[in-house]
Amino acid sequence: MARRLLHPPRLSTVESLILELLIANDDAMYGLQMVAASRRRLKRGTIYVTLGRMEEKGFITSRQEAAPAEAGGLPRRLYEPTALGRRVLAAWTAAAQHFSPRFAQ
Amino acid sequence: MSVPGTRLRALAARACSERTMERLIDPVIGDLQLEYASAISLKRRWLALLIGYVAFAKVSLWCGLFGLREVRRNWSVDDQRAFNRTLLWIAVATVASTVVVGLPNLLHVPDMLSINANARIERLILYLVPSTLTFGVPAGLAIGAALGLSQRVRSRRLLAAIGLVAVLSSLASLVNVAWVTPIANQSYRAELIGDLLVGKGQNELTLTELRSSAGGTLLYHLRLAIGVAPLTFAIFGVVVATRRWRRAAAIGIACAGVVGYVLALNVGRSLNYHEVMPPRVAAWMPHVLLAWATILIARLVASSRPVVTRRCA
Repeated sequence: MARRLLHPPRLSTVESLILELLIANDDAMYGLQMVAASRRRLKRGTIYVTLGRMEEKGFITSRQEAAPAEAGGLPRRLYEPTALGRRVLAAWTAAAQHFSPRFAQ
Repeated sequence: MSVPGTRLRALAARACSERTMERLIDPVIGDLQLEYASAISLKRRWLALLIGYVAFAKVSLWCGLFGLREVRRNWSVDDQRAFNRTLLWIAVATVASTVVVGLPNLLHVPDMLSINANARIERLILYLVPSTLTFGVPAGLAIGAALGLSQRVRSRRLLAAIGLVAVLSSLASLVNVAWVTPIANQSYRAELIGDLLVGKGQNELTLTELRSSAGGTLLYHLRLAIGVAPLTFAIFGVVVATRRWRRAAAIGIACAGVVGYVLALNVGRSLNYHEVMPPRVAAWMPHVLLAWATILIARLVASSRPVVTRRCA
């Protein structure tokens, strides 16, 4: 369950990158897929910690894959952005464009 | 052959909550298994395993930090009392052990003034403190844990907090034995001789200097082993401090463990000197023996009946 937001939502650089990837992909993604798509900007050892935190904040949701991808292996967890996550990313990008001319280009 | 990561997962499941398993551990293990299964060559499989295990280690570190946060969140008044009591006993036992270890050297300090009458006695005593702490801290942790936890109810949160104290003590001990003690030893010599440029012996070399020096292999491994000693001793003390034995027995066994460790250390040194035992084995042998004793005691505790006492909490 998403943690109740007492303060305005904050988005770190890694969190915004994850949201960008998820929104751009249209479909749910799993951890390794995001690591590969991020061109080494996301690390395998820490991505799940960030994903867990984002889920607590309510920016993304996750579900387990129906069947194991490989025989004997654990089922993968798929991640999707929530409406809140989409709105926070849009607001964060707008704010970044407003305050930093570099983003506006 | 079992799927890689299965044992790691089982091990993690014993320490982590269901939520942590679901969110952090399972995805990492799943990635490891997926990459291992899809690797075509043996080399790629090994690489997949290596990368997977490194990722698992990183996630485990995070789990440890989250675990500490949980410990703090669920901390009760009883935990706080028990923790304070144990810390107090650890402090008392550390001071007592440090004095006992350092007493022979302290008694010689006035005689040392005959070498240099201008040397200041308080400085000489101060320079002796780091070297005496190398054994004082591990001994204090074992005896203090035995004193503080014996015949008491111990929650997992309390044990986790004491584990954190042991890890921090180990880190501090490592820094002490690797850098602080050699510098203090050198300062002691310089104070006695009255010359800051006096040459260094092996006990005055820092860990980095010792690594590159010839003939310092045993001392190098000994310092690493002694640096880890607070953690090993704390586990020993916690295992010994059981509700199934009387307090005096627990303290006696903790003291015997400390004495046994020092004896094993000297035996290891001697065997290495006579080229019977390699330096690495000689340095780490006392730890192996202490760990073995800890396992034996834990088994003995599990099979013995609890002692009925009036004080239970």
